Amino acid sequence: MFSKLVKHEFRATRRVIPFVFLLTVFIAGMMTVSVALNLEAIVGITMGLLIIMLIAEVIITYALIVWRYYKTMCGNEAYLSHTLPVKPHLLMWSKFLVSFVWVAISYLVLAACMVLLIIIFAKGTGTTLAEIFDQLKIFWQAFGLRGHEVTVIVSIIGLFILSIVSGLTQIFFSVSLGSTSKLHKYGIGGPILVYVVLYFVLQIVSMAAMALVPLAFAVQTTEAGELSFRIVSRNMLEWFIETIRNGEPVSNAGLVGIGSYLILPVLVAVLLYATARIVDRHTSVR
Amino acid sequence: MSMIMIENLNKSFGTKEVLKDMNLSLEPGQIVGLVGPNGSGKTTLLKILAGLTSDYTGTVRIGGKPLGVETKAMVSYLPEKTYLSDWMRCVDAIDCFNDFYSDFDRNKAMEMLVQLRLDPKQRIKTMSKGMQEKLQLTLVMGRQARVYLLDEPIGGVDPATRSVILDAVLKQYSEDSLMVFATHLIADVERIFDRVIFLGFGEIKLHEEVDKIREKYGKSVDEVFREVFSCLVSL
Repeated sequence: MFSKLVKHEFRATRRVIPFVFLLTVFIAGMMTVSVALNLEAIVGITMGLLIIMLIAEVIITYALIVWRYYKTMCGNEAYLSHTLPVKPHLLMWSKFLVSFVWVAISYLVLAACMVLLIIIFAKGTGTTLAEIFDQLKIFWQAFGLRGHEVTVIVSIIGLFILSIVSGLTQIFFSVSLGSTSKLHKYGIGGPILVYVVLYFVLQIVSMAAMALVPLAFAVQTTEAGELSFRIVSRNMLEWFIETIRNGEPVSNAGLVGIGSYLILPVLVAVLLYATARIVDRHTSVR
Repeated sequence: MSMIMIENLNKSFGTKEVLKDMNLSLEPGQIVGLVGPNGSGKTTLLKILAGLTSDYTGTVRIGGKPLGVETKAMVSYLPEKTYLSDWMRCVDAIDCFNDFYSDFDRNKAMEMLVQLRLDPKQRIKTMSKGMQEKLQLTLVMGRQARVYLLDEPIGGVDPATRSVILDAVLKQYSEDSLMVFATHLIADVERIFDRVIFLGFGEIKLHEEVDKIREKYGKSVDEVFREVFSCLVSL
């Protein structure tokens, strides 16, 4: 049944969301052609449009996901969704999976277009691709990342996935909780209210975890003038207080707490579990 | 065994009680008219039976099972609202039902589309409300369900279409099923009812076989309904 739910979710969403990506790619293509043909006026227009579209495509993708989830889980279409002979949490998971794919694609389109913009900008300033790579190498070296390429790439991919999962979880939780019978009287305001409260709670918890969890990046400058990073078992708040008391850092290493990245997956897991429970046990279609 | 069994069912919206300590048992093989004025709790009762509302107290069983996935597989529910996505064509909606309901008969549904003069390729967003209602009825009656719950299936259509819909319902209905038909247009549909439940202000005011009502009161169900509810309203 889950595969059928996923299939129908893709069928329902593929009519609108990919259109936004295609429009972005089309504008990027127009810009590339106009650069190749040296049509300066069109390059300016298409570049402006592309920058707007890059911001818009991610926002539009999220907006369409929110709207679709609300409509099919709490709005009129919920009359069909919630009468299908499936566990309600499977509905939620199928929507989550499909939404994840669309958001990931929207970010990949964004990244690809950013690379294209950099290449075109470099071409306009007479910089070669080799020179750009050299600059990146210097940047990489200055941040002390040489020799840690795999770790950095895996971490970036992990954070990319975590940020999408976290964003979707907050949306699904807010819409599900905000549409339960006790919040019906607020209409669409219910999910918005829950989202705002949840956002502030998560910010506070993240900041607390960043300051209090004894895990941090120690950032130091080497004699060669490069930055070096290492993970230390100290909490950022303690270091911060010492720094203020002494007027200067105890060591020459600055600390950036990373406890929030440990807490975030736990919070996401708790919220997803809570969302599934709400959908299973507190369904109350208006 | 009762197909629908309800014991001490209570449901409130805030401080307003919509269903008050309701007890009801319905056997299969009959068409039951669920009638009552607006706000009497008909839709709420059907939504609970369909599994759309969970914040109630009391016991509800369908086919001996508590409400859940198994009962959803037994129940074919037609809500008052249009629940199909507007991008869908009739065939998309039929394919969707065919995928999810093992008791859905695609050929029967396609035949019903023709009978109700609906174009299988037409998109829902281009349909009138009446056409959308006919399509939803096609989907609901296209199933060989054990329980049909129809909420005001003729509420938004013209009198000529009402007859077409009622004929289609009767044609598709299988005699070992239970059909609960909620309406306030009693005169138009009482001919198809075996039994009626008068629901008023969250309580069952009358639950009787149609023939017995006619025999006992010497009047049509519609006339009895008017009498019962005019008294209640004036009170």
